[in-house]
Amino acid sequence: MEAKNIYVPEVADIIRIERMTELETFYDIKLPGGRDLGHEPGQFVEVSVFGIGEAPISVSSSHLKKGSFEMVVRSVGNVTQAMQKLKAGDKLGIRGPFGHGFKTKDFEGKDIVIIAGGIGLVPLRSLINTIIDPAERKKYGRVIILYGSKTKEEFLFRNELETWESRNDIEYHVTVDRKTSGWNGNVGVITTLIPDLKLDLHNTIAAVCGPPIMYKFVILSLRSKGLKDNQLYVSLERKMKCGVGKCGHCQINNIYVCQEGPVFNYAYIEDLKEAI
Amino acid sequence: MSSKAIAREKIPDAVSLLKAKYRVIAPVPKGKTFVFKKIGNPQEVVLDYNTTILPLKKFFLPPDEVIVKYNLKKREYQEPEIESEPTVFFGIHNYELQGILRLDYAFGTGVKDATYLKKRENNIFIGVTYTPDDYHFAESVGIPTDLKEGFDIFLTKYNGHYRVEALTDKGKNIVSQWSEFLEDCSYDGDPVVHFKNKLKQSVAGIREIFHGAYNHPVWKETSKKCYSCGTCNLVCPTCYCFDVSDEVVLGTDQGARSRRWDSCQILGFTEVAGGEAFREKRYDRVRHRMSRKFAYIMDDRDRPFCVGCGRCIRQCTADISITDVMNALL
Repeated sequence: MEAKNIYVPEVADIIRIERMTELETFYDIKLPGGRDLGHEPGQFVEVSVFGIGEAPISVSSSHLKKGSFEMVVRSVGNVTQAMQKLKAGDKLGIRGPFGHGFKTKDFEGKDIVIIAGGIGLVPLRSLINTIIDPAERKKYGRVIILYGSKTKEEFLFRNELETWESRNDIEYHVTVDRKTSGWNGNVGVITTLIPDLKLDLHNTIAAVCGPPIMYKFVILSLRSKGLKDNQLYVSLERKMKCGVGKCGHCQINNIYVCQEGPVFNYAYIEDLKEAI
Repeated sequence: MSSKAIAREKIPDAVSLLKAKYRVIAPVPKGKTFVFKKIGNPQEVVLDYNTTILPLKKFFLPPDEVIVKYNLKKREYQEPEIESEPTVFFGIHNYELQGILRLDYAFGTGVKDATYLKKRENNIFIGVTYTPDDYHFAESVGIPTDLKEGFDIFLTKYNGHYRVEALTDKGKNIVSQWSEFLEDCSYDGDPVVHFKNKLKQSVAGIREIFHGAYNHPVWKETSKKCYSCGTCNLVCPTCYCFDVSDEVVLGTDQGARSRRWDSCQILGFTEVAGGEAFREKRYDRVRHRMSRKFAYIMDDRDRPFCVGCGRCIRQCTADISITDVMNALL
C-alpha cells in the first residue's frame, strides 16, 4: 500500500497582497521555485495559515499566468480573517488544485455567457482571463459577461471591469442591487440582465457562480431563454475541508463536490437533491 | 488433516503467547458492556460478548489524530510519524472486520489516505462466532455469522471449546505456535444462528429503493425523535467523516493539525463561512446518514456501508432504530 500523506501543505510565498474592498483581499502566490499550480479555471486550493487552520479558496487567475497564481478572499471565517492580516513576504500553506473546473477545450467555437453574482466573480475570473487572453480570444465566439453586485462599493477587480467594458470583443453588462451615490447604471438583481440578451441558442454555453440563492433564478431565466440544461455550467460552494473526498463535509447526496466539482454541468446535477 | 480446537480455559495461554510478539487488542468487560483494548493481563479477554461500545475503527481512524505537524518559527509543515506496530486483533466479530474492509475501501480508493492505510499494515485478525442479540442484523446486510472474509484465524464456539481454523499463512503460523494448547476437534459445521432483528428484505436492490424514497414520510417522522446528538455516527463502524482543526502548543513554536470524528447529524456539518448550511432541516440530515449507508456509498462489490452491528440502535439516545426506518421503506 504505497501512499503518501495527502494533508501536508506546500509552503508558498505571498508576493503581492492588496485590499480590494472592506471584506475582500487579493493575493498573488508563488509556489516553490515559481512552479505553476497547474490548475484549470474554476478549481480550488486548500490554503493554510500557520497556527490557525485551513480553508478552501478558489483560484482566481488563469492557468495562462505563469510563475504565480491569484486568489481573492472574503474574510468571514477564522482562517480568512487571519489571511487578511498577512503581508507580502509572508508564507501560506497550499494543497491542490482540487476537483474539476471548466473544460475550456469544450467551449471552443462557442459563445460564452458568464454570470457572476458578487464574490462568484472570483472563480469565474479564472475562466474569463483564459478566454479573453489575446492569444486565446479567437478560439471562442462571443464573450458576454454579466456581473451583479450589492452596490458599486463591492465591485471586485475594478481595473479589469473597466477593461472588459472598453474592449470591443467583450460584451459586459453590470447591475447593482442597490444604488449608491455616483451610480448611473442598471439597478436590479442579476436576472434582470438576462431577458435582453440575444443568444444563438445552438451555440452558447453559460457559466454561473454566485450566492446559493442565485442559481435557481438564473437557471430558470436561462432556460426560459431557450438554453438547454447541458449548456449550463455551475460552480457550487460547499464546505470542502479535506479536498480529497474523505471528510464528508462537501457531499451532496452521493457526490463529493471537492472531487467531481466544484464546476458541474447542470444536466449532471439537475436531479441531485440538495444541489441547487 | 483433522481440525483442531482450543478449550475455553486455554484462551489466556494462547493470548499470552501472542503477546510475546504482538500488541494484542481484544474485547474486555467494562461495567455491563465491553470495549476493545490493548491487553495487559490475558485473563481479561472475553470471547462471549455482544458488542463493544466503539467499533475497531478507533485504532485505524482514532477519535483525534494528528495529520500534519508544523513549526511556526521555521514555517514548515511536516508529516507526523504513524505507528504501525504488529498487532493481533483477537476475538473479533465478523461484522466488525467488515466495517474495517469498508473503511479500507473509503480510504484506499480515489485519493489514497496514507494516514489511515499505514495503520492497516501488520494487522492479524482472529475472529470468533457470536450469538446475535436484539440489535444485531448483520445477516440482513449480507454478513451471516459464518462469513470469514478477511480473518487469518477463525474461532467457532461449541461445547466450551472453539474450533480453530487457520485461513491464511499468517494464521497457520500462529496456530502452529499454539500446538500445545490445541486438541482434536469433534465439531464439524457451523452453528445455526437466528437473528431477532432483521430487514424485511435483503439488501440487493436497496439502492434503487433509496433513490425513490427521498420524500418518504419516514424521514420527517424519525427526525421528530432525533436530538442530532451524533451518537450514531460515533459508534458506527463505517462512519468516517472528520473535522479538521489546528492547535498550537502554548509557549512553543510547535503546532499540529488534527482530524476528529465528526457528525453529519449536526447542523454545522455543512455550514460554509458565509453562514449557509446545505442540510438545514433535521430530516435532511437523518436521511443523508441512512442514505449514505445504503445508497450513496457502496464498495467495489456493491456492498452497503452498514454492517448490521446494531450499535446505532443500541446506543441511540432517542430510541431510533435504523432497521425500523429501513423496514418502513422496504
